[in-house]
Order: sequence, then structure tokens, then C-alpha cells
Amino acid sequence: MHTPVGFRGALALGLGATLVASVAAPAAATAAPAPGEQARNVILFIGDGMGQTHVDAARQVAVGAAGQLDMETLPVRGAVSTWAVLPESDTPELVTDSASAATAWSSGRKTYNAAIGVDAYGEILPTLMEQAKGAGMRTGNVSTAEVTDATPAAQFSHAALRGCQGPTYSLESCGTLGGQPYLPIAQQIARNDVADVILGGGNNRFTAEDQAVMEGNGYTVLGELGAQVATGDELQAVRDGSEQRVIGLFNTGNLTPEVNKAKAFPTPAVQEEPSLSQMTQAAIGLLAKSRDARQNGFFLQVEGANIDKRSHANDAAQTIGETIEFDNAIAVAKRFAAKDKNTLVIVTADHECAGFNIIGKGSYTNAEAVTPPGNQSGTSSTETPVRTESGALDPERSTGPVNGSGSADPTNFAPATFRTADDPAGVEDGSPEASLWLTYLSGNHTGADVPLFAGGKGSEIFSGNQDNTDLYGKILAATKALSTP
Amino acid sequence: MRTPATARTPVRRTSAPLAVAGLAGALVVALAGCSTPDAATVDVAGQAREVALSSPAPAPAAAEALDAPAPAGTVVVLDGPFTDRIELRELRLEEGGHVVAAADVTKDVSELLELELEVAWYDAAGALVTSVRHVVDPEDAEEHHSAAGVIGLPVDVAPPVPVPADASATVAVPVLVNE
Ligand SMILES: [Zn+2]
Repeated sequence: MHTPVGFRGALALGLGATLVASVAAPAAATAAPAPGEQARNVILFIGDGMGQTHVDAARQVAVGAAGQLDMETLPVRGAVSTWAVLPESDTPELVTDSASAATAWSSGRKTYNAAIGVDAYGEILPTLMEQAKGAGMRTGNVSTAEVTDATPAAQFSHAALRGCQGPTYSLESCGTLGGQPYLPIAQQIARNDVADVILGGGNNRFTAEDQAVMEGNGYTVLGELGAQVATGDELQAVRDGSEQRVIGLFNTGNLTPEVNKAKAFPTPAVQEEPSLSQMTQAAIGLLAKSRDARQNGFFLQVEGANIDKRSHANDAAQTIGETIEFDNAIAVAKRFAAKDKNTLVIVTADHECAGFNIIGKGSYTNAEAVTPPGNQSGTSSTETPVRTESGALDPERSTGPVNGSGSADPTNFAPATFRTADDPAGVEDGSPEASLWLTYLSGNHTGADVPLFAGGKGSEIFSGNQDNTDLYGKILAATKALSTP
Repeated sequence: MRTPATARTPVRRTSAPLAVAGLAGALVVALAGCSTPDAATVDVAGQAREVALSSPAPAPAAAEALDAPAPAGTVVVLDGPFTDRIELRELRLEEGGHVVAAADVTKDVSELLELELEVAWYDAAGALVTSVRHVVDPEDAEEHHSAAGVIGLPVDVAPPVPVPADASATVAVPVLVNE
């Protein structure tokens, strides 16, 4: 469920009529690095839907129990609360979507699910990326999703409903701002010049007219907007260090998950798509060496979007593959930051997706049991038997892993098993012998806090527990060009 | 499944320029100073707000006439930005001019967020009779999720006014958003 029930009705009644001309004041920073400890550059990584278990599972598969992913080697650890609010209120909505969460860190305000860069009342909010651009920084927005999707969109567009991605405005998919129709997200991106480097998917959200406008504004357009997707080779050919703006959209929709690419499964065009780490490398190259960045730094957001999308599908193999590739992209940024010594790297998520969890090898979930444990809420469970009937695994409900050996049985729904880096040679994914047993609670987002990892200049203030809206003020405070003395 | 009670007024299929085409030029001038220290004074957020609040181009509407008259009963899917993401299986014209199909959304589909179909009916000479924007309620797609995406979502769109027995139809997909 992505849009609160009745929300479209609220829009029809004129949500956003309170829109005023003034721009909302940013939330106050809760902490600031010592003078001289602020970063010139900021790279913000968002693992969409990435809860702690996504990190844990990727670690077990990639490097084993005693190993660390690149994100985990960043020295600062924190956790982030993610709740949203109901439309036209400050009433908490405990499970957020990507739009509300991305607006929280891009603007410092809680908002309703589906809102892009607007507050709970539909008022347009200034975003971190807009402020960075206004402060003379170079700016970049990279995603494996369509660049009009919620996470990238909330840095460089404003919409009452996240579905208003373009190229066509419709009242049902867009609603109104201030009671008026507004420009779809793709068409805003093509005209507002907020991001200097835009890499990702969603070529068909844009049109030939958008291309003409962007070229007129000095963008190099890879491929043809709305007509021909860009390729990894074209991206490679773009020269680093120039002042040019670049947009490269490598799929008509979302980019292809890495596992599918490795299978050489679809088409030559898919094989031409760059990976998230390649796009991150290219973006840093284009941003860092420009004159603006040398003077004022750069702000880059990078999203691993398919972690969430494949979690919705309860597709553990691709979820892990996407999390590992997300970590590869972080490794690229870490290498840059280590050399540059003036860069803040933050890694977090917008929300957890699908209640991903690791269960004991050979164990099973409530949903696979003949009778799940009774709900003991409000009683003293020490005197009440937890299971009044058999809690055994029900062989009719679950006969084996959902992947590998059990995949032929469509009734199976848990677990998905994977060999870890610690498993002996010969142990295969989808076998009962594999050590990592993964389960999903649902096909939707959950309300769990998400992990945060940070390193580099100014990273200390991201330590500990914080709300997603706090990230906005902290990034402002930690960034030289954005902090007020 | 719900269908708006009233058909939209057909609009000529023209490439109406976006109202903001001129604003983009102004932005170039405003942002030209970005690489100087004065860049800090550029109100990029204000400009982005202004762009967001510009008027959108009118949605492309059904053509007033087909390039060539279509045989009675045919239904054609018009090429568009999302035709690689959706397949309308068993697409047909049924009694009363109902356009019926089973929709498969097999690309990018963790959750179907928005789907709108623009359905138009033409007479035997290829002239537009009527058209309607059919808005799919994403809740209706929930039960059609499978490992392959949203499969077999029933589509049944009635013409808002009676159409001749020898009518043909076209279907465009102007809006499709998946999470
Ligand atoms: Zn999601």
C-alpha cells in the first residue's frame, strides 16, 4: 500500500491550497562539526529498502560472517527512524514509502507517503540538491531506478503524487499543487537545471522536446531522450573534469538487476547498461574535477533502487545481488574520499522492505507451522503455554527452499537458502545445506529503523540514533558550502 | 476497476509546447554565473519551484481521424512511451463497443502505482466517435501479482456514448508507473 486510503480524495478537495510563495525555513541542525572539520564534498548513498538484514545477508554471501562489506568499514554507525505523517497533519504514519522518506532528508520535513519535495500540506520545500546548486556546488543524482522515481526525484523535483513522473500530466496520477496542475517530474528535471550529472533509468519519461530544452541549457544528452537509451560505452566516452552537464538514461524504465545481467538474460541493450558502481565512478569523475567543485565542492546522491524493488518481489537472490553491487558503488566513493580527504560519505536507507530476516538453518517460520504461536500480548506468558497445539512444520505448507531444490513447488514460500562465503565448496544456493536461511514477512515496506554508516570529513555527527529529517540539517551543517557560520 | 463517468473532450493531437519552454532560456542566463563566487546568491530552489508550478502540456488525446479506416471490430494499441512495459492480451471489441483485454505488466513491476489507458472508438470511415480515459485502481492489481509481474489484470472499457456496430478502436497508454 503506497498511497494512504482516501488521499486522492483529499487532493481533489484541494490539498495544497495553503501553498504560499515563501519558501519554508530549513530545520535546525542538531549538531555541527568543529570549524575546519566540514566536508567540501558530500556523497549520500541510499540503499532503497535496505534494512539491517539486507546488509547482513549480503555480508554472509560476499565475505562471510567475520568479514565486512565496504559500507561496514566506514567508521561511524547510526540508526535512522523512518516514519511518515498522514496528509495535512502531523499524525504519524508508521510505515513510510520512498517518497516521504526521501523528502524527509532532502528537506528536513515529515510528509505524507507519495509526496515529493512538498510538505504534508502540499507546500513546496527547498531541497538539499537545490541548495547545493545554489551555493555553487556541482550536483549529481544517480539511481538504478528511473530518475523520476521517488528517491532521486525528491532531490530535484516537487510533486503532490510520486506517480506524476511524466511525460503526461493527469489529474489522477498527479493531483494538484496549490489547487493547480503542475509539471510532471521528468519535465521539471529537464528544465530546472538542479543536477549537473543525471545517470540512471527512465528514458521514456522524457521527450524530444525535453532533450531540446536540456541541450539548450548546456547538457550533453547521451542517447536520445524518449527515443534511444544511452549506453555504458557512451558514458565511458564522456570526458572527466569538464564543466559540462550530462544526462544518461540507460533503460526505458528501471535498470536491469545485476543477477539478470550476469545471466545475459535479456538483450544486448541490457548488457550495455552500466552498473551502479560504473555510474558512481563516472559521476564522481564528472563532478569532482570541475571548476565549481574545486571551488565549492559537489553533492552527489546515489541510489541502489532495485534492493527495494526486488525485496517487494521477495526475490532474495536479486536482492542480495543488488545490495552487493550497491556496496561496490560505495567502495568507489570510499576510494575517492580516501584520496580527496575532503569528502563526507553517508550510507543509509529510506526504509526496510519486506521484513527480510535470517532464520536458523533447518528452522521455519510461523507461516509454515501447523499452528503458529498464540498471541500472548497482555498476558504473563510464563504461566501460559505459548503453543496450545502442535507448532511443527506443516509439510503441506512448505516442502523446501523457495529457490533451488524447492523451487519447483509453487506452494513453497520460505525459506530462500544461500551458500555463504564460509560454506564448504560444493554447497549450493537453494539447498538445505546452505547456511543462510532467509525469509520475508511481506511484500511491502516495514516500519523498522534502518542502519546508517558514515565516514570522512564531518561524519561524526551522524553517529547514533536519529530521525530521517535530522539528516537534512546534519548534511547542511557538515558541508562547507552549505553551513551558515 | 472504475471508469470515469464522463469522457474527456477530445483534443487535437498536436505537439503543444510546454508553457515553460521560455523559462528554460531564462534559467540559462540566471545560472551562467554558477562558477563564480557570486553563485551563492543564485536562488536555485526558487527557480525549481517556479518550474514545478508551470502549466503542464495538455495530455495527448485521441486523434480526430485514423490514418486509414480500420476493419470493423479491430483494436490497435498505439505506440507510446510505455508499450514495452505492458501487453494487452486477448484485446478485442465486444458487444456494446466494450474494449476488453487482459493486461500483463511484466517490466519494472514490484508494485503497480498508476495505469491509465486512453481508449478511442472510430467509425467505419475512420472518424473519431468518442474516447475515454480509463484509470485503473492500483488496488485492483494486487490480486494479479505473480513472480512475472502483474498478469491478467482484466480491462473492460465501455464507450461513454453508443458506437456503431462496425466501429474499431485504439488504445494508448499515457500513464504507467511501477514502484
Ligand atoms: Zn518500495
